[in-house]
Amino acid sequence: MGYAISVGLGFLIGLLFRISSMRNQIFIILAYKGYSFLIKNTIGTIENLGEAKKIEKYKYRKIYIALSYNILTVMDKIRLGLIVISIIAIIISIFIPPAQLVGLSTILGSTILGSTVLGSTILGSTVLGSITLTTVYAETYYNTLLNALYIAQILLSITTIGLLIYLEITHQSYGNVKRKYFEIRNTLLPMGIILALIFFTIITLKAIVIVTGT
Amino acid sequence: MEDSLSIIRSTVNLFLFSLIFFSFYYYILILFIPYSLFLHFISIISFTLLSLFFIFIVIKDKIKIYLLISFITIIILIEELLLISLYVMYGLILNILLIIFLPLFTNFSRNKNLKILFESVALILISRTVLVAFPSQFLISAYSMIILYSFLLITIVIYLYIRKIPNEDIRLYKGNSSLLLQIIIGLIVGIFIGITEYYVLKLKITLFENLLQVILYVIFVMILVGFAEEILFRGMFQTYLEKIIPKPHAIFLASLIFGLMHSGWLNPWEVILAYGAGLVFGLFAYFHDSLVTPISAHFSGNVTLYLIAIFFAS
Repeated sequence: MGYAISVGLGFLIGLLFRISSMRNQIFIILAYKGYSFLIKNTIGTIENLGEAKKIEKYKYRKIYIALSYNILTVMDKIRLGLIVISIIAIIISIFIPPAQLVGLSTILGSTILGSTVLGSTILGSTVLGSITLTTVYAETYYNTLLNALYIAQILLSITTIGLLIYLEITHQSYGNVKRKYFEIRNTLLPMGIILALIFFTIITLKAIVIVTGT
Repeated sequence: MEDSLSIIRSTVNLFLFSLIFFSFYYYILILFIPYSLFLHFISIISFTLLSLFFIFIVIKDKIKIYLLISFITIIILIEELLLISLYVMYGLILNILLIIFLPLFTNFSRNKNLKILFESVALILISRTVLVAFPSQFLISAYSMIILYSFLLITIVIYLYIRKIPNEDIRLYKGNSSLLLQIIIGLIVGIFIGITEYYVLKLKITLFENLLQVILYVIFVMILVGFAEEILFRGMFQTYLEKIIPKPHAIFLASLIFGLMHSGWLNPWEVILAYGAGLVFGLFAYFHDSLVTPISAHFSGNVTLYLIAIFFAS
């Protein structure tokens, strides 16, 4: 699951942002990790079938053999598919022109505040000695917010990618993981997935904005 | 019965003490500081510190836990104030970092309740982060809140699924009273809160073009808002806090954070009103052992406020 998210993520990033060498490194790391994981699983399964010696010399044909023996699980096939997609993504992203990052702009806090500000240009109230703010502040604030959201998007993206890579490399299927790291992984798992969901939404909406030009 | 009364008394006393002292303080403050964002900030900071001070006066043990919760409260206060200031960028950065690091703090403890408590705070902060995902042209639309709160609910469901927390543990079930009775009580209480909130905010909404928009907005949004916020504040934060510290204090602190999350209205009295409403919701959640009344009251309160703001505000 973690790997599927990571590679899918890498594919989308590469396709949409072209973060040059960093993007390719992420792809290569993820593709390699997925590949080695797949090989390990496959070898284990094939050894059980007594076929290990036959394929020992043909390291890079192991997946092909595994496929022809039909011994890959559904998840293995999905991983394999994603590796292929990520490789295609690397190739495509080399040729497509870099897309402009579209500045994100939202309204802060609660959209209730937003609807108050934008809908009726009322900010605050005069009841019980509360605050009345001028529209000058609202305008200044809104401009600051646009920039802040753009930076927050980048921070969130980098954090999420880092989290997903951490969640992936500390997965027990890659070998023994220190207890401490595994505990941290379990702690970070729910928030990692939720942040990934937000990140995917950012990517998807950016894709829609780029494709439709709106 | 006596136990129930003492819980109500302790919770309400704490609130009233904070409120009375704050009111005096506020009216002295406005003699020297003109109405401004600065006054709003000073008021909220003072009220939070005053409330925490009263809690520390009455506690007897578990000081470390209280210090930890106070720390969380102050961090949320800073984050919320940054978000409404021109330093909004730092608020968003703090928000994202807290979502990652708050759950990590719990790695030092074996207490499962404390873990879920910290994670629920991170989920509360997610309610701000979800805005980052959407472009401005989408958020300005009247329907954006439906998507935002649906998104928030999805994240809550994902969290509950991963942590395998049953609905009963967050009081998302019928509870110990009649369902109908809880809904009726909730709706009535909510109407009073909604009217009071209108007089505090003097809100006027002119975003809607037709009646269909109004119906969609009010019904869907308020149901979603009620569910999402009550699960977060009463269902998770308060419920797990009750397992660590005495119940009145848990209700009080959950309401305080609920109030702070309303700082975006730029009106200190709205923060205090939300704080008071949070206490009422929290007491209902505790006594009925269910979120039905708080969700109904939250729904009814918001619907009342918005209907007045849309149709009757001059």
